[in-house]
Amino acid sequence: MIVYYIKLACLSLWQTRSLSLLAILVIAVGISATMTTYTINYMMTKDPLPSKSDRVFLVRLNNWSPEAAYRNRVKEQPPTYISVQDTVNLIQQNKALGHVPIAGFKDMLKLPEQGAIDAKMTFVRATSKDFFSTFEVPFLYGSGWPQTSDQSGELVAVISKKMNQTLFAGENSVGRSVMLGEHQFKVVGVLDDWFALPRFYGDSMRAFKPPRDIFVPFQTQINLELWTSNLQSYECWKEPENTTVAALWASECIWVFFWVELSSREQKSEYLAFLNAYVQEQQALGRFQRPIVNELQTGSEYMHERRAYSSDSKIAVWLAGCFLVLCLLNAMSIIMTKFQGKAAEVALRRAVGASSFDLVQQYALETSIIGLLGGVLGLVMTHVCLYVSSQLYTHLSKDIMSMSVELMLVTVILSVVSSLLFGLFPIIRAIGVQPAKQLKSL
Amino acid sequence: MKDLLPILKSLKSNYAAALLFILQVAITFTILVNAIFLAFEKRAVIARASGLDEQNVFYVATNLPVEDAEKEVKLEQDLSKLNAIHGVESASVSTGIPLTGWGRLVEVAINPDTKYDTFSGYYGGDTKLIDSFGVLLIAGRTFLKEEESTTRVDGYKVASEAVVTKALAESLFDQNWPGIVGKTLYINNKPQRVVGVVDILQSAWPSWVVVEHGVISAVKETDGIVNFVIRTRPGSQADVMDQTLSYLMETYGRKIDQVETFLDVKNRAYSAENAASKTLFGVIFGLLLVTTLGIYGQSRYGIVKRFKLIGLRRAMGASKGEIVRYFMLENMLLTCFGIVLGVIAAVVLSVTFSNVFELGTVPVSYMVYGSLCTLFLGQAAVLYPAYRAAQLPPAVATRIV
Repeated sequence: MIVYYIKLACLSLWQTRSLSLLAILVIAVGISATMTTYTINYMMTKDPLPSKSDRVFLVRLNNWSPEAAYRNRVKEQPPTYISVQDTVNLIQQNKALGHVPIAGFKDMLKLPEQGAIDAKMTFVRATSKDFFSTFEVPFLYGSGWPQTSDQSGELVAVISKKMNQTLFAGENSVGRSVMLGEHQFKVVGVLDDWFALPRFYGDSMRAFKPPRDIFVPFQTQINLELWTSNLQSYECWKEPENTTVAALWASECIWVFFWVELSSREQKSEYLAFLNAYVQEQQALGRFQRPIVNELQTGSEYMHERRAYSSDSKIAVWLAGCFLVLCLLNAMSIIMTKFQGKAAEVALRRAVGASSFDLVQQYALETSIIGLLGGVLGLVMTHVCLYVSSQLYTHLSKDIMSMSVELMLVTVILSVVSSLLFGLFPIIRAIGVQPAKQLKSL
Repeated sequence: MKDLLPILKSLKSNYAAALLFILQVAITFTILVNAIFLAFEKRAVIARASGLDEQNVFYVATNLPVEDAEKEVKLEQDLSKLNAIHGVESASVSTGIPLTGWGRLVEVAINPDTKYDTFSGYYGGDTKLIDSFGVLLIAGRTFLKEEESTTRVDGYKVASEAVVTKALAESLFDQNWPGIVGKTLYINNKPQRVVGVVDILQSAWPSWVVVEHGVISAVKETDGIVNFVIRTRPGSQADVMDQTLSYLMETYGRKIDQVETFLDVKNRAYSAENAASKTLFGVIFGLLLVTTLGIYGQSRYGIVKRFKLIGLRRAMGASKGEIVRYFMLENMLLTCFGIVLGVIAAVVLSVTFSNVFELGTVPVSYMVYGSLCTLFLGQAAVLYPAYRAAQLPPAVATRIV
């Protein structure tokens, strides 16, 4: 029976092909607008680390001047970053599964054999080996550096796939060397394609930019005193002793984002207790002369607090949703027109014994075929729109403009369901005709 | 107007199509008004003046590749060389560049030892910096050569004179803002005498609440990366940029961190707003297209259905003009219903947006213009089907069942 219905539906679609095509087009436009905006919004606000979102935390210590609260906030809140000495101390205490300091600098990068003229100013991420395991970063060649490199601050580096392409033409470059400023770093690993979206672990202003292309141990940055003053924000409530970088490291200036990975959610309170104990210990040494309000914050909590998510993308989804309703109403009136011409057919079929349920079934099938075709066309158009957006939204990472399989399925289902819903009314009106009256006029 | 009653009666007999039409108009109106409002809001943000001579300013971020003790001399040498390049109006060194997203902020207070009154962006440079930015001095004077000094870092701690922006002066003294000249302000608790006021100079962060608050001091900084701000004569920017870079690269160890024209800086700073407003205009275009097609199709359908009626009326002596008028009036009536519904929906949506996203609400003028536009759109879409209907010969029309 269903095959026969499909055949009938196709026949009917073909008979009213221009109207059907119009309905499909209108639905496709509405669907693609909605799904494009929804995809962008979804990619921007999704959980960046779904498998560990409840056990990876940003460590916030209330390290600020005894005279005033940080940023003079009414409800006292600790800064989002910590000082170098606290970073080093917390890593040494080794109470968490993973310790990930997020620091960095910029310097001129080139191959040892290249001349100074080829060197490019490059943003360098200084972190620890735990960065790669905690944030689940995939490797193409090699791996992260060993623990010993973190402890002694060796000159090792991990580079991105893109950087590997630029410097080594995509070859396995493990064991080769790069020059970063005056220092030669040995490449130990090359990353595979890695989309950390939103890139929650650093400065929230840059959350939708691609990750940096070269990673070195945090301790190396500290040992070599590599510091770029105009790269990251840093705040000092107390001046460093003198103007050297070493004094900056030893000062109360805060600028290192520090993330920890815990073994379970339950360990959170345990780690917080450890932090409070640590601060008390430091208070005894004359530091941290403010109330203890330490915090452990998840990635998405941090992003929300920093208002990293722009409301534009949400508004766009709302507007696109309204637009979809408009398109569906439009399609509804087209379908209505389509079925209006069928009054005679309906009357005939009713007269020879088809129940109204049979007719609803058949016309619903026809409408859902329109919805399906509209959905598929909408999907194609969504991809075109996403491509256009990726050209337009230069401030966002291109990785935002991509759709997962689930989203594609949702697109088609949304199209079919909404067309069915909006097609129901025309269908019910169409089969509501009086057979006798219609047949008389034939 | 005598058609009004028959129109209402015919609508009653075909309420479903009429309702659909009204709903479509209402939704179109709702989206249209809100999208245009949002798009214009974005445009307004982008169009804000930075205060700089935007077309003719560029900057180079670079280091001073000499020992700490020689940096001051090197900086002076660079500045005099850069000022001597043909085509340069004025070249200076600055601690920051407006709208780049990286800069200094200071706390400003009128009285000593109090909490700050407000925040402000900070720029430190040589005496010519105001001229190199191309900002307009509207009260007092610029810095004198003897007020200029050089330090390694954090110039606001050693400055003793300051030039402020008008917006900052107004936020401290309201209407009496010109009186700020000669007064002492406490910048991060360091007393500084205000010598002049500039019209507009935006700070480094375009989305900052107090983006127009600015403090300039005549203190050059030599640490790390310095920014050379260069204002050129119109048309010679590319040329000057080449010469600047080739001069700078003559020094061994020089690193060029960044070279950017101010127009590029501004484009980058507002890329989000720019993209959003373009998207909104795209939405508006798609919306108008779909709605116009919809109204056109529906009117056409409504008219085709009433061919017989039209033929009858024509046969009874109605003129072509009367037929067209009838359908136009019908369309106008339905559109008006739609607009009334749309105004309500638009206000609801706008209030929701302003509550949820902290935006302004749509002003009444948008509603008025939106209504006129929608009305015009409806009339334009119905014109052709109505005209076609009027052309129908009465004999043919009455023959069709």
